[in-house]
Amino acid sequence: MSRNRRSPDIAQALARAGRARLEHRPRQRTVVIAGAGIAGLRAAERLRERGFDGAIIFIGEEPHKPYNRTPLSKQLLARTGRLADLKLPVYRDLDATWRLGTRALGLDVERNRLLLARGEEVEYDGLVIATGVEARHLPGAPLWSDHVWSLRDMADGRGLGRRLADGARHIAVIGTGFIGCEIASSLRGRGLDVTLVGRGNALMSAAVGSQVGGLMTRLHRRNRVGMKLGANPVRWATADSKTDRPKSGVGVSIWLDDGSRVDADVAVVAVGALPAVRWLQGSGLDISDGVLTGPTTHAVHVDSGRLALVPSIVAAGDVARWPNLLFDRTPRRVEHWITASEHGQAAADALLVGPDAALPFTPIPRFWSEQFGVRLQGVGRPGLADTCRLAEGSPKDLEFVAVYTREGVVVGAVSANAGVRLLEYTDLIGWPLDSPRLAGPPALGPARLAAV
Amino acid sequence: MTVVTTGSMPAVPPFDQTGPRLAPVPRQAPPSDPVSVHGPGIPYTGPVTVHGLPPVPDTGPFPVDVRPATLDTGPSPVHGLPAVPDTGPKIIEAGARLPVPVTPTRPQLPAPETGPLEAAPLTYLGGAGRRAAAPAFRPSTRRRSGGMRRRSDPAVVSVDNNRCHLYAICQQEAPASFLVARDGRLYYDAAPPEHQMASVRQAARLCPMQAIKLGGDSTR
Repeated sequence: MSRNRRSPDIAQALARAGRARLEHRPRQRTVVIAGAGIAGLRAAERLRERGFDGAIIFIGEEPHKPYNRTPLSKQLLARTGRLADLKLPVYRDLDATWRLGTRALGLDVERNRLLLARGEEVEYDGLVIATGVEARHLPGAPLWSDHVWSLRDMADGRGLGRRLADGARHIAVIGTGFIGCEIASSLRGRGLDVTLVGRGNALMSAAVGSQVGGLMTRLHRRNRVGMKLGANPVRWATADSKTDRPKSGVGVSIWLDDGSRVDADVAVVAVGALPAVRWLQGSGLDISDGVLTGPTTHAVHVDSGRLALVPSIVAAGDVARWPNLLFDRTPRRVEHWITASEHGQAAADALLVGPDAALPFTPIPRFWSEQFGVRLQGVGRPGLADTCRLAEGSPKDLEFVAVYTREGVVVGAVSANAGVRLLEYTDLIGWPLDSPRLAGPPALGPARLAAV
Repeated sequence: MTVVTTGSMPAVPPFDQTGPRLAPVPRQAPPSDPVSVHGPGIPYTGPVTVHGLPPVPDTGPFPVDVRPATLDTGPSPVHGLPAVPDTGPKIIEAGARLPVPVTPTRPQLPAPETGPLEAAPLTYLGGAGRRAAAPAFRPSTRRRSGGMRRRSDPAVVSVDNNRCHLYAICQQEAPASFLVARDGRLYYDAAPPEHQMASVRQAARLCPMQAIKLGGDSTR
């Protein structure tokens, strides 16, 4: 017998064992992340941090890997930053497959398939919906024109930047939310003339209330930003239109419903955003104003009026509408950059442990904005409040902290130029303002959360 | 009783002769001396001790990172507000009934000899005339003689002073490693211990200005 040959029965046993091991090896799991934004990126990073060794596939509509959108209206438009600043740090090897420039077209919840163009289907074991939001269209605004822009992604930012570099002097900004005000501030910083058009009576009043909004309105006025508040555009005329042209030398003319007209070289439409959920129509998920999820970020499936959580689908970021149990049980969307990062991480955790074991995602929303050198910073949901009170500082000098309460319970705080002092007020959220903090259980504090 | 023998029993062969004879494995001659292992000519000198690494130089206290208190708002032609001047600690008048915590809940600056933060204000104020001239570079003798761990790890955290706008998100995420002090400056631990790196990374992720850079082995 040769020294190199095994006995045949042992060789057969070895082959059998090897085949059995191959057959019983768990299949490699696949997580598909629809949307290559910050929430999807943080979800993938958290999956790897938790030791997920399966495949991660990104389906992104933009041709770029995830980048930081927040400088688009700030540093990039003000030309104090560079395009390289949009890079986002990742502290894990993601080892992901990037299907960029690919739009998800549909979702088959029963068969766990994501539908792409040309009939392609991607099977998943877990799906993270992080398609984010898209800029809301203002009815009648000729966004096809070279003189009218919105500002949502890098292509918008570069196009608008090129258009401004062509010698635009006067810019009309439609919308007085955070983005509109930041655009106005950035452009005034470049010495351009800006006219803000908004339907509210104060800037950013939906987000920070009319009192702080009024202070910011004064700041913008002091920096000679033209204001047309309480007005809506009703008619547009652009220089490259075939039918409706403004007088010569004017890029775009906007007639408002108060009878006035704004002539500008370029108009920027920043009237908020809508969740990108059209591709989920017919999938059975609840997509009214974003993907409805439970407190654990698991998506809600509606089957003939019966609601059920889908264990294999989570939603994160601006697109998700979920009840933040820190405030109440009403599902809402949050469009803050920091919250989107945390949301992606929580969604990855929830996907790994399932809806039964996952913890509810209860972040304190945090946001910031900088306009004319004033650092506006907020925590919580000031938009939910019924009362706004000055906590400390001086509003006249634009250095203050304001506390927002709803039915006596603190729901948020906003500071200007006082970032560090805002931290103390973060701890107040969920507690009644009037009673001493240790007198009783909080209205919606940890004890109440455990009961929920 | 007689012993009946029914024939001659075959002689039981010795045990080592049963069965097929195994061919003796030709045994390699063991190396007679260590020299043969390493080839001829190279004398065996035992395990190699590397003496090539230079001694770690004593670099003194930690790299110190401070940022100026005034905001660099850039050349803005329409800038209507004055930059926030460094006026030192201010007396804050509470404008409402809101209970301001009496005891500070935030981690304060550690005791002077416990960490790298001790040198920060000294270095920053060196030559500024704000305080009695304290040497900016003053190695602590106590730290060397005592049991305090001398942290000589390389700096992995750096904050871009031009970017940082003091939103203090980093302090919320990693209060042990970042501190926006009441003087309006950010103090941070340039070489945080290993168990703090997760929160430091989260602080770098969530920094609104993306001013925190982690280098070196931060991805561990």
